[in-house]
Amino acid sequence: MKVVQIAGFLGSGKTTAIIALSRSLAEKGKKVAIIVNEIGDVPVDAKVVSEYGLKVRDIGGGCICCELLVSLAYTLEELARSYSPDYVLIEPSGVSIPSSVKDGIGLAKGLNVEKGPVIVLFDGERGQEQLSDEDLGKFIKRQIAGADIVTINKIDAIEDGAARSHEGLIRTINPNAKILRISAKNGLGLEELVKLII
Amino acid sequence: MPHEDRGEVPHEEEHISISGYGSTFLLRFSRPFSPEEIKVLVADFIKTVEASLMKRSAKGIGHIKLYIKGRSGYIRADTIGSKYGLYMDGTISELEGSVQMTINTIAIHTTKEDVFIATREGLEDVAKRYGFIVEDLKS
Repeated sequence: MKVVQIAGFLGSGKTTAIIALSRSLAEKGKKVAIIVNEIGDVPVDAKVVSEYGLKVRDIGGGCICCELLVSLAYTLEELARSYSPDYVLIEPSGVSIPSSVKDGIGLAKGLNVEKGPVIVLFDGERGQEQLSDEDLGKFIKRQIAGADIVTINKIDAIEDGAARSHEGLIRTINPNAKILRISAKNGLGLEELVKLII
Repeated sequence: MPHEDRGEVPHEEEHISISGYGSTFLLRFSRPFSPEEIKVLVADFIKTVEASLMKRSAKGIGHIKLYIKGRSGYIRADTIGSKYGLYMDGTISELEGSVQMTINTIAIHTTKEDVFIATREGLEDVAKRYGFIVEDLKS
């Protein structure tokens, strides 16, 4: 069971990306389950994901990188027992720290878990504006620093110059991450991302 | 750190002042609404909540997300701020007498109280404008 995080700040496109990735993996014959974590008490994203016929578990009312770390481990164990997925895609809340979510994955006992890449979505439209906010900026940099792959999302909505500027900025934060440009909405760049997950 | 019932969960390690409120409601229309009318109502509601949050000195919208379920399908809508537009899609295809609406409002640099009030007042304003009754299904 390979576990992959699709992290990123609020509104960066995680749910859209996770739906597109899950469908692509399913088309390749892989069994996929999704864990969705939301800050609020009600799981809007999980309801949306389930409309696509995808197997989903929601963990709400907190963040799986801290107070709900153990819930994440239990959910992984339950999915392994009941569904035996090839891949589990985790959508943490928009304010989660990817490295801490990785710790939660490690708490799941007795599972043959392969930790897949940590993917962090960077909002192509708002990312630079968010980075210039003192508090948000520090937080988002921390998310980016914890990534194996940073995907600049919403590439369909921005100019090439803006995308290049984002890449430069991301490289200063995380020189080792692979950087991709994608549009989760219309599928641009997704196949390359799927190849990095498989 | 303790979890608050109103939907805000203070993040343990960071001070980024994100507050959220979410709940599910049943909207009973005074007459059957078409899919187009439901979409107009949804757009108006989101705009109203955002305006109310900004009036209450929120620094910005984190994310406002809605999921509406009717007999004939669903509508999903979300915004990261009106500057970036509103995304909407879904499959509702027939007149609906009532729908279930789940909303999560997340705002930046504002209080959980303000997010709660902006969302609830926004819903009441829109209910008056479009003529429907709101019932709490989960709070």
